[in-house]
Amino acid sequence: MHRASNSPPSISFILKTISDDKALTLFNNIALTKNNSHIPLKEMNLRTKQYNLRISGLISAGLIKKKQGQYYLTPLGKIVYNSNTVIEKALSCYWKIKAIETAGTGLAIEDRQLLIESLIDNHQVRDILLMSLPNTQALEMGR
Amino acid sequence: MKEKLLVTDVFKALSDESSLSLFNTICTSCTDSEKLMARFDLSKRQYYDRMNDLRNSCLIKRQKGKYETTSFGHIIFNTLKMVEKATESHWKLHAIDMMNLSANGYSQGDYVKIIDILLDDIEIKEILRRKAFPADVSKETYSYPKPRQLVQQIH
Repeated sequence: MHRASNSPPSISFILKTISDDKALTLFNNIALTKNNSHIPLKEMNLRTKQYNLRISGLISAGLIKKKQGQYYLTPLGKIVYNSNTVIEKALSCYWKIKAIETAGTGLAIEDRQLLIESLIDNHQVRDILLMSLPNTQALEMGR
Repeated sequence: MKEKLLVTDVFKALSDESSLSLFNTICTSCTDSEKLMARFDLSKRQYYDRMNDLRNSCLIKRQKGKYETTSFGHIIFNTLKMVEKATESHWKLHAIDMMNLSANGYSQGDYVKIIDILLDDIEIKEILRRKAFPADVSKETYSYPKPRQLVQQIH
């Protein structure tokens, strides 16, 4: 799972790297742990070889780097981490999103907007859903 | 759909180049199987396998014979668009990272300035400016003045 180091990583390659749950946990650990020079392998049920394989995958995708024996997120890694957080938040309120979608088909745009604003707490998820409404811009301009 | 959809399920469904292209096409224009199959060089089996994965991950749905994105799929499409923008500015991000690595007198203030100069996308700028990544806190820090300090500076 390696790519040429001078070419930008493709989205599918990045997604492939973090589609493994242990690689994703490792990636999240690196993002959140302050001193991550000793990530507990036993807790993650990983052998050294498995750990190294996942770490090299994350490095190859341009998501992490090592500095002074410590792994850290690259700027691209930070963007991917942020996207992952938004997706996790969307998944945590998946049934609300589904309900809005189902109920929304018979509602006026203003009512759908109201439904989204009252049901979805996370502002990033809410903004994307509001953006997806047809004629949202026209609605904004009309105000 | 699985009882509990995981982030990794979504990533797996999109980790193949053709699946990602299919998803992007459906997100930008609601279309039917005939057009999609004609557009992508995939066998019937490859096509339906990928479409099933996308449907099982709740990214797309079929309505009146046409495929369209779900609300959840729309969220994924938007977040991936940001990652795509980031990969397009790969070298700029690489330069920012190199600057952050070298501790040759660069302060956090300089780091923020470079981000502002090099990058155009507001969202990407905001994410990189954030100090929410604990690993960054240990680096040489630029401490933003506390409100009381600011008041003292003003007077």
